[in-house]
Order: sequence, then structure tokens, then C-alpha cells
Amino acid sequence: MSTAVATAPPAARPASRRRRRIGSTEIVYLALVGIVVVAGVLVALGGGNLFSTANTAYMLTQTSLLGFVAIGQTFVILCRSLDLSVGYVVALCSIVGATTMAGDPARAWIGVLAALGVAALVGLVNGLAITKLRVNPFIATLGVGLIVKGYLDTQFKGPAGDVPASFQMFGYTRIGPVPVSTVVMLLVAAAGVVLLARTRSGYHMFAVGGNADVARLSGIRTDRTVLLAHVLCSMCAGVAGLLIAARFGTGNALVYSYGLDLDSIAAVVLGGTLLLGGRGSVVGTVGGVLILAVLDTVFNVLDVDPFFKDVLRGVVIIAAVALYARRQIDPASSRTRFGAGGRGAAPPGPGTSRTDAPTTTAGGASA
Amino acid sequence: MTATTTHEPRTPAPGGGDGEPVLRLRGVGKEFFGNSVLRDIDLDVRAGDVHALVGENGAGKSTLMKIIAGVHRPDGGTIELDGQVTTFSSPLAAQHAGVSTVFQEFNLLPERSVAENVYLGREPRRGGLVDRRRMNDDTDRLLADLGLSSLAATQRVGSLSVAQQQVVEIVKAVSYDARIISMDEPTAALADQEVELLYELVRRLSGRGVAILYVSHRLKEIFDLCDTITVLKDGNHVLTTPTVDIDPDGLVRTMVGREFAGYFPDKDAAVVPGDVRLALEGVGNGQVDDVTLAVRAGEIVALAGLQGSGRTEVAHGIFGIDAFTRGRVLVGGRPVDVRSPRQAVRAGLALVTEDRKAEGLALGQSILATRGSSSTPSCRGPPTAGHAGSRASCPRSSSSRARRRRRSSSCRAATSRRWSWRSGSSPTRRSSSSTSRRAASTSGPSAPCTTSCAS
Repeated sequence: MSTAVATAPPAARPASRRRRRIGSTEIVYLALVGIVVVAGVLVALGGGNLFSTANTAYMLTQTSLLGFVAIGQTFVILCRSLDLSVGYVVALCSIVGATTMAGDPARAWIGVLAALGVAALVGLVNGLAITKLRVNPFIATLGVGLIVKGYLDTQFKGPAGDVPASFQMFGYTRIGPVPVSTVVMLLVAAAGVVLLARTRSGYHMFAVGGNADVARLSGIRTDRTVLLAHVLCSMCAGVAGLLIAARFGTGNALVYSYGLDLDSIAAVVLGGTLLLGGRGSVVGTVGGVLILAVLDTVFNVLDVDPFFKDVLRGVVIIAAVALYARRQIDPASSRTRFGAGGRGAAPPGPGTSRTDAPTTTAGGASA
Repeated sequence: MTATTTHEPRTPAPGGGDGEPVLRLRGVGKEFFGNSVLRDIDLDVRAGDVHALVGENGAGKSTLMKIIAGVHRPDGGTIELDGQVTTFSSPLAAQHAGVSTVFQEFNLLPERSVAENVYLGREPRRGGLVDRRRMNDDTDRLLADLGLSSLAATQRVGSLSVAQQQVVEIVKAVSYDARIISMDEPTAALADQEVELLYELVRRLSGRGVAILYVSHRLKEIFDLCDTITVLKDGNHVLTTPTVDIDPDGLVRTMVGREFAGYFPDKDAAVVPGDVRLALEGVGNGQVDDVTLAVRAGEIVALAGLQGSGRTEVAHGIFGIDAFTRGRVLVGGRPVDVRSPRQAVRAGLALVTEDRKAEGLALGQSILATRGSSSTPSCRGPPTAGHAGSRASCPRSSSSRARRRRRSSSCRAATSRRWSWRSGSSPTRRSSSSTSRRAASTSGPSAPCTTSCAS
């Protein structure tokens, strides 16, 4: 009876919808595979081997540094926020970690805690500025970042602190071609996946980013969710700072010029997370980071001109996002009234009317 | 249809349909900025009852709904739930007390699944983690209970039709064990065959003893679906009656407070349609196709149809927002090629947008500045002459300097609408049987420029 009428059209939907749905993260990894293949061939033509241990290790090392930052950035962007202070947090935490350790292996864990604690504090300040002071995230985190930068610039002219050899293992040890730092990064990513897919906090991040009003009406404490995302983001950047300290053997204020802030946003967006929040995944972000790392490695191996390198990176990012935007626009939300080939095609059924009331009734049927 | 037939989670109010009301309002009043919008409203909603709330625009239906939903607090009077006087501090508090409201605009996250939306903010947990299986199972059971086997808990809400999204909202309300569900024009966005899905659901819910407060402009629905009708007029309670005791004519008479004949006023005999000002010849684009119509000077042409039938799209096409790719548009007999709103304005067209607040007005700007913007009509010719020009050419719209200087945002939506509608083109509410709630009209009353108003 009546329900049958209504059920018929939607019943056909799920299959096609599901196919498209999977796409978002999948496409990132398809692109990654494509890029790896093309890159491998290019390097082979030049007489090299992209998959040599040295190259793979370089690639994965690149991945872990940006990976930590980008995973954190994913939480924040999911909440429709943004964190531009991560680069400065990385630098700050490398110094806090290294100076606290002061070459004493017994103090290594205190250094780790201190670095993460400072990172969490910066994240808290970011979050409070955004939720309580109602400052636009772009400005709030930029401001906090500049404050940190000012502190670093005036207090630390060069390298500072001393990382004990035992902690430097975090930076250098490899299991086969896989650096320990990459393994740690993947563990953090796994924790991020669980957070987003299996905890209320994660669900609420999607809700706050998707529609803050809906979230609030459903009893979600939206401020707290944003705050948590920012704290986690900064702490991820803190881990990246520790990795830098481990690799250099000291803390270094100048690493904020690495451009990790914008790179992490690029990686997140490459990974299929909407810059406007509400949709995305850590898995996608890791894919995005890998894509950037592969590109970086190839450019290095092929000795590409640094300027051209940046141009290519920019082109890849814009192309990817343009692709996502396209996928966003055409399908689901707008009802297609005249089938897929709507351009110029004659409308089916009784939609055509040459009267004064141009009511194209075909619209309702396609719903 | 009494509440004694029950297999629902909570027991209905003792006595059933004819007994004590679940929700009882006594003397509820509300003022906004000194304007009294509701006065001394009494309302009894009984379990298992589908209770229609009707009235013209501005009668106070929405305000009353919002008071019941916990969005607004009444300035006077009491709300009793199961005989207990209560106040709802927030929509969430009302929801937890068993009073859910399905608003016109969707409160759903399109990127999340049905289950994730239904249980948003109270996801079931096990061992600290969200118990997804239980959440999906519970949702599926809820859907099955309500006879909604076409929906699955794991479907992404954004992939559902408008009607199904509406249903998800109602399912969410039911999942709170709601005993009272109020629905604000739930069919406004639905096509005819989709409405059946909603009817079915409403009947099933009332069969389970849920009280339903139903706001609609479609008289047919009210007589099809509702057991009791309450009429509001100008913020006052006019009448509460069983549906069987009233006919559509009588209801309209009560709503508008005058004879049915007055509901469709005679056309002004003094206005004689003149030359064709705007003509569409077989125009079409991605959304509409082969539309042909002519609008004469002094004529009001209604574009009627369901939401989604293409009314707005035609208006947008004319105005170049989503330009036509086929056919011809003639303004004053001359073909024009309008591919952007800017070109439309230059061609002497203007548009009053559907959502005047969101699209039509730059709320931060003064009325004068806004008048110069393209979507606001009634300026002679293209209003590109700047502030001085628009002031000079809009004597009727700028009745006093003080008002002109007031910021647009301080005007209520109704006011801004009044500013935009020309005197002769105020929208006429269509009748019960008409499928359209509001009629879209394309008009050019006695003015040198053609004004198209999308509703």
C-alpha cells in the first residue's frame, strides 16, 4: 500500500550510493598507488630505484614527521576549525623536550611529558580563544603561533638542550626499512581512527563540524569538543617536536620554518577531509601524507629544481581538491530532473507544458 | 483511535484519548519587544490524538510550537505535562521530558548515518567505546516498529530523499520515547507520493498513543489526518473542535475571520493587463525544461507547484542565477540574454528571493544601501546609479528618513518582506486543494520594470 509506493524508488539507491561513498578514502589510496607507480617508473628511467632502502627510509621518515602534525590537524579540521600554530608548537616542543632531558637518559620520559604538557597547554589556549573569546580559528591560532614564535626568537638563537642517545633511537632506529618513528606515527593514527570511529568524542567532532546547531540541540557540549580537538592537535604536534629533537640531538627553534602548518592542512585536504568540517578520516590523512612524501622523495631522487618542486606540489594539491569539489557538486543533493544526460535532452513523461503554468511535475517522481 | 490500544514503551495518560490530556497549556502568552504575539492560549493535547494547529501567517502557531519545544519560554501561563506544571529550560530538556519537535528545517547531519543521527549526543557505549552494533540494531528495530523497512540504520542521511530525511527526524523524536511530537509543516517539502509515507507514520504513532501536534497549511491533510483542530488568529485562541464537527469552508472562515469568498478577493477591475513585459519561450536549463509563459504589464502571474517542481528554478533562470541554456527570454519584446543577476538587473528585472533573510538582504547594511542591491525591486530601471539615484527613484519605498537609516537587520523578516512586495502583489494564500502552500508570482504591476517574486 502506501508505504510500498514510497519505498520503491529509494530501494534502488543504496547500491549506487555505497559505491560512491567508499570512494572518498579509497580514491586517495588509488591516487597514491598511481603516483608510486609513475614515480617508480620515472626513477627507473633515470637509472635509479625508488624502492631502495635509503629512498624508502627517507620517504617514511618524511611521512612520520608530517604524519603526526596532519593527524592532529585532521581532528581540528573535522570540527570546522583550523590550527596554524602547529609549526611553532613543533619547534617549541623540540626545545622543551631537549632542554628538559639535558642529556640525561633517566630524564628522557620527563622530557616527553614536559613537551606534551606544553603542547597541550598551547592547544588549550587555542581552543579557549576560539570557543570562549569567539575568535575565528584562523586568527586565534595564528595569534597564538606568533606569540610562541616571539618567545622562541628571543629566547633561543640556536640549538638548545641535549637529547640523550637512548631517546635519539626514536629518530634513527629502523626495523628493516621502516623507521621506529613511522611505526609510532601509525600507532597514533590507529588511535585517531578509534577515537573518530568508536568514541563519543569522535562522533561529536563530526557533529560539531557538520552542523554546530544540530550538535548543540542534541545536547553535545560543542565547546568542549572543539577544545579537545585542539588539545589533541597540539599534542600531536608535540610528538612531532620530540621526533625532531631525537633526530637532531637537540631542540631547534628554527624548525617552524619547515612549513609544517600549511603542509599538514594540505595533507588533510588531500586525504579527503572537508575543509569545512563534518567529513573526513585519519586514514585518508595518512594517505595524503604519503602522497606528499612520495612526491618529495621523487623530486629529491630526480634532483628536481626546488622551485619547480614547489610548483608541482601546488598543482597536485589544487588538482586534488578541485577533483573532490567536483565530486561534491554534481550528485546526490540536487535532484536530477531529467536523468543523467540532462543537457538538452528531451524530458521524459508529462513534465513538458506549454501553458502559463510551467509546472514540471516530473520532478517529484524522481525523488 | 484511543490510546488504550497500546504497545508503546510508556503508558499513556490514564483515561486514554477522551481522558486527561498529556499536555495542557493554560493561559500561555508571549511577547516579543512589547508586541504580544500570543495571548491567553489554552490547549489540551491528548494521547493518541492528532491535533491540528492552524491559522494564518502571524497567527502565532510557530511561537506556540517553540514554546512547547522549549525554544521560547512563555511570559505567562502554565504548561502541564501529565498534570505536572513544568518549564522547559531548553529544547533538549523538553525532548528528555518526552516532548519532541520536528522543525521545518532539518536538524540532521547529512554526512552521518541514520543511526548516528538518531542517537546523536547519546550514543550507546560499551567499555567506553560506542557500541555501534547496538546502535544500528536499535535503530533498525525502531525503523521496523514504525514500518519503515525501506530505511536502513547505516544509510547516509545525505543520500536519502527529503521525505525520508523527514522520517528520520521523526524516528529521532520517537527514539526519545516522545509522547508528544509536534510537527511544523512536515509536508511542506514533500511531493504527493512522499506525503503518504508521512501519513502512514503519523497514523502509526497515534495508534501507539503518541500525541501529535500538527501544523500545516494544507487543509486536505488536516481533514485527512487530524482528530482535533485548534484555530489561532492574531495570537488568540479562536476555536478547538473535533474535525468531524467542521468543514473546510467553516475552518477557513474561522481562520481568516471572514467569509470564504473574501479568501479569494476579486481582481481589481481597474487594472487592465497591458503589453507583454516578460516572455519566456521554451526556456530550460538543468532543472526546468520547455517553459513558456508571458507576463503582461499590471498582471500578476502565479507559478504554482510543489516544492521541487521548478518554481524557484524558473525564477532563478529568469534572473540569471542559474541561467537558461535553451529558449528565449524577451523583456519588453526585446530578446535578452541574461546569464548573470547583474545582466538581469541591467535588463530591468528584479527578484525577491525565496529566503529573503538569507539571500535578499545584506542584513548588516542600511536599508538605503540594500535598496541599491539587485535583488530588491521597485526601483525605476536598473538601480546602478548609486545611493543618490536610488533614493531619488524610490520615493514610495523610503517613507521616512528615520526608517531608511535603520539597519536592515533590525527589521523583522515580515517587515523586510513588506518592503519588498509591491502594493499590488502581496501573495495570496492558495486554497486547501491547491498543492502549493505559497504561490510564486511573477508580476509587473503598473511599473516600468518587471518584478519577479519567487516564493
